[in-house]
Amino acid sequence: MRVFGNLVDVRPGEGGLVLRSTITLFGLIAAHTLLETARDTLFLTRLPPERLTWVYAALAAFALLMGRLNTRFVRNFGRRNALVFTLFTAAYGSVVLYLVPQTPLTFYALYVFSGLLGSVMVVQFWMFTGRMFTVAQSKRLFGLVAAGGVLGAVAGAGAAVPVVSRLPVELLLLAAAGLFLATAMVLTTVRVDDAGVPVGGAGGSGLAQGLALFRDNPYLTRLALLVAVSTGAVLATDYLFKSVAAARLAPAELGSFFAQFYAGLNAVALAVQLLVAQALVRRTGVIVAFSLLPFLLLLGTAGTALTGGAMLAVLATKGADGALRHSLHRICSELLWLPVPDEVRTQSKVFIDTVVVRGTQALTAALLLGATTMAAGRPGVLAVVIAVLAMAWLMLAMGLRKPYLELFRSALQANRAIPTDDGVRLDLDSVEVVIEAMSSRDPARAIAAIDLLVSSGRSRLIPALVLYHESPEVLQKALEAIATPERSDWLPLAARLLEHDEQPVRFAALRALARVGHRTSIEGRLLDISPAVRAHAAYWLAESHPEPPEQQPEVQAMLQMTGDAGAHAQVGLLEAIAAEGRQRWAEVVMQAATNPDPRVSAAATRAMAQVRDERFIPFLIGQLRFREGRATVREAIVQLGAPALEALERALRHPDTDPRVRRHVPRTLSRFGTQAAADVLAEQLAFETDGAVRYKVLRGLGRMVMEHPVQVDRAALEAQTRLNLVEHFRLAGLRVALVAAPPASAAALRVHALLVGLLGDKVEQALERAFRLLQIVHRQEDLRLAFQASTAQDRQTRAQAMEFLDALTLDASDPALRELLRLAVDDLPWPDRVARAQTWAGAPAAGSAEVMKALTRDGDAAMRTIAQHYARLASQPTLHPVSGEVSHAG
Amino acid sequence: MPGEASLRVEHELFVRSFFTDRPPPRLVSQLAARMRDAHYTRGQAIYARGGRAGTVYFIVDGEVHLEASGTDPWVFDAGAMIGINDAVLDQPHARTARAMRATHVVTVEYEDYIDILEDNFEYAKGTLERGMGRIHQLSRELGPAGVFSPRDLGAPDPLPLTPGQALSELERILVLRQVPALSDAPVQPLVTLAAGAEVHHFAPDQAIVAAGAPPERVWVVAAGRVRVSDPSVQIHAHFEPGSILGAQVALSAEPWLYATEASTQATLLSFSREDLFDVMEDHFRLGRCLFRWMARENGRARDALADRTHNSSDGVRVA
Repeated sequence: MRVFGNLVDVRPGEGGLVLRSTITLFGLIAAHTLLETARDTLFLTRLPPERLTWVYAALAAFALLMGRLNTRFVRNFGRRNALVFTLFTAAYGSVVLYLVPQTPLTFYALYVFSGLLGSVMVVQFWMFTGRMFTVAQSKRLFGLVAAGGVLGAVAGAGAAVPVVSRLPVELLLLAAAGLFLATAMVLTTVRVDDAGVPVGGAGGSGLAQGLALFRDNPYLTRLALLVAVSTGAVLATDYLFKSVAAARLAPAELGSFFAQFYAGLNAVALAVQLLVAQALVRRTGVIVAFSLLPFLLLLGTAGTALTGGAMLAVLATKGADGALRHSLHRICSELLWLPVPDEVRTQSKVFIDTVVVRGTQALTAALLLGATTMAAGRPGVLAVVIAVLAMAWLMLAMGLRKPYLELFRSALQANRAIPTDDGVRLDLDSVEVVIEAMSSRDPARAIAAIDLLVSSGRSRLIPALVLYHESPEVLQKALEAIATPERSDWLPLAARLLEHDEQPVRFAALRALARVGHRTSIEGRLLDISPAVRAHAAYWLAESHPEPPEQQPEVQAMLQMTGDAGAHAQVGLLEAIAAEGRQRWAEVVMQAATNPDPRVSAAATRAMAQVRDERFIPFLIGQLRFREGRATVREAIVQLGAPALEALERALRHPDTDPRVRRHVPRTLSRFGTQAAADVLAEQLAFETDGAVRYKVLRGLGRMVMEHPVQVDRAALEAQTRLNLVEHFRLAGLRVALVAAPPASAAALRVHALLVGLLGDKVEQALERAFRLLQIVHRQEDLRLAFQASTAQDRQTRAQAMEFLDALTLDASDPALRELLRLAVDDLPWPDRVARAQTWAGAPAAGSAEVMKALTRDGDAAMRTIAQHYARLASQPTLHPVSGEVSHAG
Repeated sequence: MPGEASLRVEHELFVRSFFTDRPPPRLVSQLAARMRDAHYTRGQAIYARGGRAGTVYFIVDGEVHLEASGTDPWVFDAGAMIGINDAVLDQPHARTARAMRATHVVTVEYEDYIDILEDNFEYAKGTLERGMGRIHQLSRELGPAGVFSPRDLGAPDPLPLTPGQALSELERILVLRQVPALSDAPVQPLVTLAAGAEVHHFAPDQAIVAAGAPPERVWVVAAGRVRVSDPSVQIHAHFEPGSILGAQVALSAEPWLYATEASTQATLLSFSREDLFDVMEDHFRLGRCLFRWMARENGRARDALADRTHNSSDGVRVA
C-alpha cells in the first residue's frame, strides 16, 4: 500500500502505529506552538528583548537538572508512560500559569517552562518512536510522522492568529493545556512493551559518565560538537530575529506579527516536510540533506551582515531555520542517531540534548548578554557570529559521512561477532606453550607446534633435540623446518636418521644433509633399499657433474624404470628437483611428465613449480582439468610469468579450449595478481557468454582485488552491477507470476516445481553477483557480511544492511543502482518489489502466457528446455485454462 | 590465567592437531580466531535436548555423554566434536550433552564453521569425503540390514522411466532431483551436473562397478534395479530409481567396496566426482545439502547402534 502515491510509503501493519505517532506529535507540537506564541508575545510586550539572554541561561540550568531526572524517570516508567506523564504535567503547568498573576516572574517562568517542555517532550517522543521503528522504517516513515509535527505547528500558529487578534493572549495557555491532555489520551492507546528495556546506564547522563561515553565513541563526539555549534547558531538566530522584531515593530503589533509569521513559517515547513524532505534524503543521502540548513543560514546571515541587519534578510534567515529545523533537519538528525546502538543512544542523546544543548545555550546566552551590555549586539555583528557558526556547522556535517558508514559497518560485524584476527602473537608465555607441545607424544600436536613456529618465522626456536622424537612424521617435519645451512646443531642428529627404518625419514635426512654438501651421506644412499632414496642420492651426484642431468647414466636409468619401482624412483628424483629448483633439470622434468602414472605427473607438476621453463606451459594448463594438485599447477603457472599469462589469456578466449580446462583459467589468472591479469579478467567479464565461466571470472577478479593493488574500471563494474540487479528483478517477476499459477496435473507440477526452483536459484545468483561486483568496487568493505545481513531473518539486521548499502553507494556513477539495491534488500513482499523495479527492469510478465513466452526464449539453454517441456505438459486439457493460451502461442 | 596470546596459540595448536589431515594455514587461523573456551564440571549440562543448536563443541579434555531417555547415551572423549549434527540439520538438540567429569571444550558458531569451510573448499571436500567414509564404516557395523538407510535405497515416488530409454535433459535433471539426498539441493547445480552426466544402460547381471575400483564416478539409478554386495560380510542391497549407488560410499575417498551389477535391465546416470566438486565449489549450497545428508545418516547410524547395544551403563562409545 502506498499512501499519497510516491510521497510516503506505509506498508501493511504499519498504519496504526504511524497514525498514532503522527497524531501524538501533531498535538504535542500544536500545543507547544500555542504556548510559544503566548510566551513570546507576553514576554516581549512586557519585558525588553535583552532579558531573553537571562531566560536562555536559566533554561540551560534547569534543563541540565531535568536531563538527569528525565533519564531516571524514563527508565523507571518506560518511554511511553514518561511522555504521557510529561503531557499531563504540561497541561497542568499551562493552566497554573494562566491562573497566576501576570508578573515579570510569571513571564520568566512561562518562558522557562515552555522551553523545558519543548526539549523534554520532543526528546521523549523521538526516543519512543526510535524504539518502535527499524532504521529502514524510520527513513520511510519519519517524514510522515514529522509532518504531523509540522502540521501541528501550522495548526497551532494558525489557531493563534485569530485568538491573538480578538482575545487575550493568555487564553492560548488554556488552549495549549487542552491539547496536551487530548494528546496524552491518544498516546495511551499505543501498546508497547517497554517493561524491563534498559534505558540509559546506571549513572544516567552524569557529566563523568557522559564524557566517558564520548571518549569511547568518536562518532558521538562529532554529533555532540555538531549539536553544540548548531544550538549556538540557532539560538543566536532566534535572538537576532526577536530583537530586530522588537526594535522595528510596535508592542501592540508583536502578537499578531509572531502569530502570522509562525503560521506562514510552519506552512512552509509542512510543504518542505511533505514534498521535499523525503525525496531529498533519498536522493542525496542523510549527510547532504542535513547540511542544507547550515548552508542557508550562512547565506541569510551573509545577507544580513552585508545589509547591516535589513528586516528582510533577518526574516529570511529565521525563515530558513523555521522552515527546515523541525522538518528536514529533524528527520536527518534522528537518522544520524539511528546507527548508534540503542543503549548508547539513549544515554548519549539525553546527555547531548541536555548537557550539551543547555550548556551551549547558557554559554551563548552569556555571550549575547555580554554583547548587548557592551552595545555589540547589533544585527550586523550578530549576523557575522552566526555566519561563522553556520560555517563550522556545515564543515562538521560534511565530515560525518565516513564515521556514519563506519557505524553501520560495525553494527553488521557486531551481528556476526567476527573477531578481529591479528594472527598469532608469540610472547614468552605462548612460546612456552608451543615448546611444551613439541615434546608431546601425540605426533599431531608436536607437528602443530613445529608448523606454528615455522609459520611465525620462529623456526630457530625449534630445538634440534626434536630429532629424537619417536614419530616418523614429526622427524620429517622437523627436518624440513630446521635443516638449514644457518644451523649446525641438527647435523649429527640428522646423520643418525639416515639409518632410520622408515623410508620417508631417510629421504628427508638425506635431502637435508645433501643440501649442505654432505657427500658421504649421499654416496652411502646409492645402495638404499628404497628407489626414492636412491633417486635422491643420484640427483645429488648428478649435481656434482657438469654435463646435463638428462645425459647422465644414473638419471637415464631412473627415467627408464617402469612399474611401481620406476614410479617411486621418478617421484624421488622429481622431489629432489623440486626441493632445489635448479633450471638445468628442466629437460628431465619434461621427460618424467610424460609418465602416465598420476603419482609421477603430480611430482612433475611440483617440480615445474620450482624449475621454471616455458616449455612446461601447455602441460600445466592441461593439468588444470584435474582437481588433485590444481593449487600446485596454478603456482607453477604463475611462476612462469608473462608467457604463461598470455597462454592463459589465449585459452580463455579460444572457443575450442577444453571446457574442463577453460573453467579453471580465470582463478588461475587471478593468482598472478598483476594489472595485466586484472585487465584480462575485467574485459572477459563483459563478454563471457558461459555463465559458469563468467562466475569464475567474477570470483577470480574479486579475489585478486582483495589481495593485490590492481585497478579496476569502477563505472564499468557498476554498470555490470546494475545489469545483474535488473536481471534479478526480471527473473523474480517471472517467478512470482509462475508461482501464482500452478498447474493441476502431477506431471506438470513436478516440472513446475523445477522451474520455480531454478528461477529462485537464478534470482539469488543474480543478487550474489551484484554484491560480488560491488565488493570489487568497494574493496575495503565487507560486502559479504552486508549480503548475509540483507537476507537475515532479523528485521533490524536487514535494516542496518540496507542503510549501510545506501550510504555506501551514495556516489555511485549510476543513481539507478542505488534504487535497485535498496529495493533488492527491502523487506517488501516480492510482488511489490518487482512492481517497483519496473522503472528499470521493465514491466513484469503478466499472466502465464507471457511468462512462458519469456522462459521459452531465455538465454539459458536449460531454462528454455525445461520451460518448453512445461509448456507442452501444461497444455493438457485437464490442466489450468490459461495454458490454452500457451499452446496457441507456442 | 593464560594471556590472550597464549590462548590463541593453544587454539591454533588444537586446530592443527585436532584436524589430523593437515588443514591449510588459512583455515587454521580463521578457526582459531573464532574459538572460545568453556569448562564444565561433572554432571553439568553443556546443552539441553530441545535447545537451539548453532554451536559446535570440540572436546579438548574430558568425557561427554549425549543422553536421550529410552536409549543408551552416546559417549564422546577428547578429540571428538559434538553439537554439529543438530546444527547442520538446523534442528533443536536431539539429546542432552552432559559432562561426565571435568571437561574442557572449545566452541565455534556453526555458521562461522561452515563459512570457513566454504572459504577453504579443498578442505571442505576432504571433510565431506572423510565424513562419508566414516559414516559408511559405522553403518557397516549395523550389519547387512542396517548398512544402507531405506531412504537412500530409492525415491518414494520415482519418475516412471523405462530401462533402456534415452533420457532427455529434463529427465536427467528430474532423476537427480528425485534422489532424497538431493531433494533440498538448489536446482541450478543439478542442472549443471545433469548437462555433463552420461547415460548408461545395463542388461541384467551386467557389472557396473567392480569392487576395489577407484572412486571416480557417482552413479544414480534412473530406472531398473541394481544390486550391491559384499559377500564377506553378507551385505546385499538393492538400489531402486532415485538412489545414489552405494549411498555414502559414492562420496567417500575409499575404493569402491562392493560388487555392483544390474539386477534387472537398468538405466543409470553417472557423472565424475570432479564435476560434482567443481559444481559444488561454485554452488556451496549443494555442499550444505550433502553435509545435511551426512548428518542425517550419522544420526541414524548412531541411534541404531545405541538401540542395539542394550548396555545402558556404558553407552555407545564414539570413536
